[in-house]
Amino acid sequence: MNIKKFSDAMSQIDNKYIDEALNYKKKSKITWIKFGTVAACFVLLIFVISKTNLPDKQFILSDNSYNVTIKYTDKTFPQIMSSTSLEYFYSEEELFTVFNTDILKGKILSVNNIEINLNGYKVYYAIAQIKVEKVYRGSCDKGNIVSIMLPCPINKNIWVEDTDTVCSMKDGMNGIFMLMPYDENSVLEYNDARLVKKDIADYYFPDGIRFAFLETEDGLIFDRYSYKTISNAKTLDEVEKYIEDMILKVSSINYTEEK
Amino acid sequence: MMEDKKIIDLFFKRSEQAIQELDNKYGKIFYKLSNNIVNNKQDVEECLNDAYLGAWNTIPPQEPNPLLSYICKIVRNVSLKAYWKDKKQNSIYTVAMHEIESCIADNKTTENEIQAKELAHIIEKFLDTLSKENRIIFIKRYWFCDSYKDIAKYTGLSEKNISVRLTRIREKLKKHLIEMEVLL
Repeated sequence: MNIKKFSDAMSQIDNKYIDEALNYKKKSKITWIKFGTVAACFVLLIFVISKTNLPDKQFILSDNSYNVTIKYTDKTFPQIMSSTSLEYFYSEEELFTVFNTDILKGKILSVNNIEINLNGYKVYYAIAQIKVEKVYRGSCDKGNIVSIMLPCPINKNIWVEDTDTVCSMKDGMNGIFMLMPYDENSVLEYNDARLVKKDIADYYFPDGIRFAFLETEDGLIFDRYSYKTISNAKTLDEVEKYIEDMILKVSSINYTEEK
Repeated sequence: MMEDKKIIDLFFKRSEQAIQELDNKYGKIFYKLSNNIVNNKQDVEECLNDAYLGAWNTIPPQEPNPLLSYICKIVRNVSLKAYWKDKKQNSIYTVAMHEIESCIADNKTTENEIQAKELAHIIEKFLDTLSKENRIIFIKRYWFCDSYKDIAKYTGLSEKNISVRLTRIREKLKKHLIEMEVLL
């Protein structure tokens, strides 16, 4: 075959392919971590994490992910990175409106660290599985098991800047979670490798502090500084009431603005 | 900007304003497409004039919907005709076809047996196997003859990423053509 014939054939393909290309709308890209700047934020931590029973589950990636492998890990981490820094202050209302989060209550079934190998460059995060018990806002349903990519590996020996709440997540805990859904444009790209994050998790936290409320043996853990209205809350029920009130409040504001 | 339906109405009324409105609305897209193929300002202008004449002669009876892809197809065909007449042949289209040549050229090809229409169906089947994003990248490169830079801007991906993806898509295409017995 010669290129002329190929070109002639291309001229005869159905118009729907041309229309699709002409009407494509670039989606805003969610860049979770920019590696260029993250390099300056590396926190070098050397430690050995305790041996855990790792899940047998293999990650099956879509065609849109390439040059990347992912596995659960319990190995020594040579280095880990800080999560997205808390650059912005948000009012309590803004925490419910700026991010179009799904808000749900659930039980943490598991938290496991993962190693993402981007064409030889390794980074570490964690995946939490949550069984949904109640949905305040969003598209998932009670009884669903959803997965969340956490911004750092989780272990009692690790402290990563700006991940205080998330670092406290443990199996069996109950909590309320404000989660951002991944879409096909949420990608991790580096070193000629690409991971579509939706391939490995349903959600992520906008940051590691302000979007989780955890019921722990030591009491309720959440960012009391950002949520001043419930800064003295002691139970998840109080948080639940607050969340429901806030959702009602912001939706009534939106409704009034639309009118 | 005038709605496509109104532009078509002008064609049907045989109003020359139809051409003016068409050019106002989509002229830049047509210019870029033609320039990617012929890479010469004067040739592009001639191609666009010929394409507009083609539209004038076919609407009516045709009532294209969508209008844009219909005219793009005319622009592309007219520009390719000019391209193959030009002995210099130096444009983005040249580079794009050179890329694709490595995955379609084969001495043992059944070239004489397959018709362009049949090959078009085979390419369509191949396009249906791609993700939407990859399909758009392929069409932008090998139909619109856009540069990597333009495709990167259009899709929000990096140029390097476009390059890697296109390499993979071409490999996949070659495999598809072998499976479909277009290449032996």
